[in-house]
Amino acid sequence: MRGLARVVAMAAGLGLAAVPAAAQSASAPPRVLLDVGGTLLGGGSLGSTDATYTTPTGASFTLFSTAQSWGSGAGVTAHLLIRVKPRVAFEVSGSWTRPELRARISGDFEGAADTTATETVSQFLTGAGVVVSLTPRGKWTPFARGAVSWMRHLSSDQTLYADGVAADLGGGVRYAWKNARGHVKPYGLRADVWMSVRSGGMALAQRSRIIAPGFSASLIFKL
Amino acid sequence: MSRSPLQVRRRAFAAFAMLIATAAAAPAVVSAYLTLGTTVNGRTVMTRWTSMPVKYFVTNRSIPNVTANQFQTVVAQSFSTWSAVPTATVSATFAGFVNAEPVRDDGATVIGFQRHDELERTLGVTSFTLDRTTGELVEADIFLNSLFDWSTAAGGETSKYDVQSIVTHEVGHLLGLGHSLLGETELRPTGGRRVLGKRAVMFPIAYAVGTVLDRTLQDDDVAGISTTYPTSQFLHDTGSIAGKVTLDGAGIFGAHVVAFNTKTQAMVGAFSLTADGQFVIDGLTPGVYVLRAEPLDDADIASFFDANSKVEIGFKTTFHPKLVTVPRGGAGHAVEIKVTRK
Ligand SMILES: [Zn+2]
Repeated sequence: MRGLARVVAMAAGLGLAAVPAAAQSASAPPRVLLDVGGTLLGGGSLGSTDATYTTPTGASFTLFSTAQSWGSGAGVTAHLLIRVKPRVAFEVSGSWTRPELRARISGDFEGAADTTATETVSQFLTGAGVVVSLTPRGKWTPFARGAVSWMRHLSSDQTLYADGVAADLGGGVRYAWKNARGHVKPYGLRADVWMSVRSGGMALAQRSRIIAPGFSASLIFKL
Repeated sequence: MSRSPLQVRRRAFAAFAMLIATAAAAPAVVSAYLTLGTTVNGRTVMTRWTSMPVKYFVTNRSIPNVTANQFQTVVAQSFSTWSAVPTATVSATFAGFVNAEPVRDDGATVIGFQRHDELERTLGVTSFTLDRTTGELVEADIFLNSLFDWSTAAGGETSKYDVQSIVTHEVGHLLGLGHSLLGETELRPTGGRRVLGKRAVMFPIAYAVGTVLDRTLQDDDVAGISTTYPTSQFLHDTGSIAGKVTLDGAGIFGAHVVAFNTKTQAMVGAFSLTADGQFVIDGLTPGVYVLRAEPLDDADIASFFDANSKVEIGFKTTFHPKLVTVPRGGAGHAVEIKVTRK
């Protein structure tokens, strides 16, 4: 999690430098919100595959077995919300994380040591969704969110890429700082948690779909 | 044939031998699986036909259970198996029956049966004649050893070797392929080796009698023939893994490296072919691969390399700890597979 802490801090520092001079008043909810922060996307199993030879009778002879999975990946994320109704906003989002693609290799016929072979992949997601704000509770505004994203995986040597899609469903909360007179300060916090279905991308198995949780925390700027 | 003055290097490549039957030096191996090569003016060139179709004759000789016509039909099917590979530009034409023997330095490519009692573990042999100036194949002959019992039955016959399976292997040699090491064997008490399993028609040891599995090419065979006679689409669509195998920090010769695609389950192999351990595996579908390096201990080294080659077999089978990605039409960064002593 040290990596995650670092990117959150980096995003926050960037955000503070970009705080707009004019604050919005408490009575006029901002039409556009930008938030930038850190994210952590969960991984999952992709199943298993055996490397096989064919015996004289046509049966399978297992040379070794592999179990494939995606590890979790930390990175940065950003959302741009455009309010289209008092409680409904259209959202454009993007993220960059670095999950690990893993193949656990075992049961080698020649006795090779069990090994986990890995590849760190850059995972880019960019998509659009809808955010519905629920009834605020003081400085906290809970919300529900759904989004669909296009996904690109890029190998660590940047020679191979593959595309896929992701769909998120979840929710979160926005925290608005207010001064003593009730005016909203020009920044806030946002935390999201969601479940994501990711499909396609860099394929290590016949099954490419995983369902995994996601988490993000970000600093809001009002535009 | 008119090209006979150019015939200078005639080599027997004893295929499907439990022991290599001839003392002739094997051609140099230039890459991967199986692709054979020869040295021309100090430069190693791939052993291949430079014009298609390959024109072949069949010896007009029947043996018990297999007529000359049945044999010719099966030989044509074996050629068709190779020419059907969509990523390779291979074709062949049956030129007729002849009385010529299949292993004669006459400029004609002849395929037929011959009895060789002295080759008691050799089912078939392919021999080549190469052009000294270009390294190209000008003649190749195949004989199947009629010392054994053979069958051309559609589903094979118990106690008989399948002609189509063995000819498909030999035609692979005729087209310029060497042996693949994608197989596991065990030594038999009576001598020779028994196949436990394999994934390449070009593995040097045949399945037992009654088996017809080697009529069908495997990924390794397809990669080998497509690398030797590539279509432009093949060069565009496939990629490579290149790197070296090292033991105690030094490169080793003759290590077998297998690339396994965990999505498609395809396996394609290659050997490290330089003193500093360099290997290249061509013809890979773009994707993510597991790499495994193993010593050449499941077949006789002479089935792959000439007697003077210093093939290193004193290391443990090892998986590379990194997954390796293969891009379309190229190669990723070079990898180093570090193995340890047995
Ligand atoms: Zn052979």
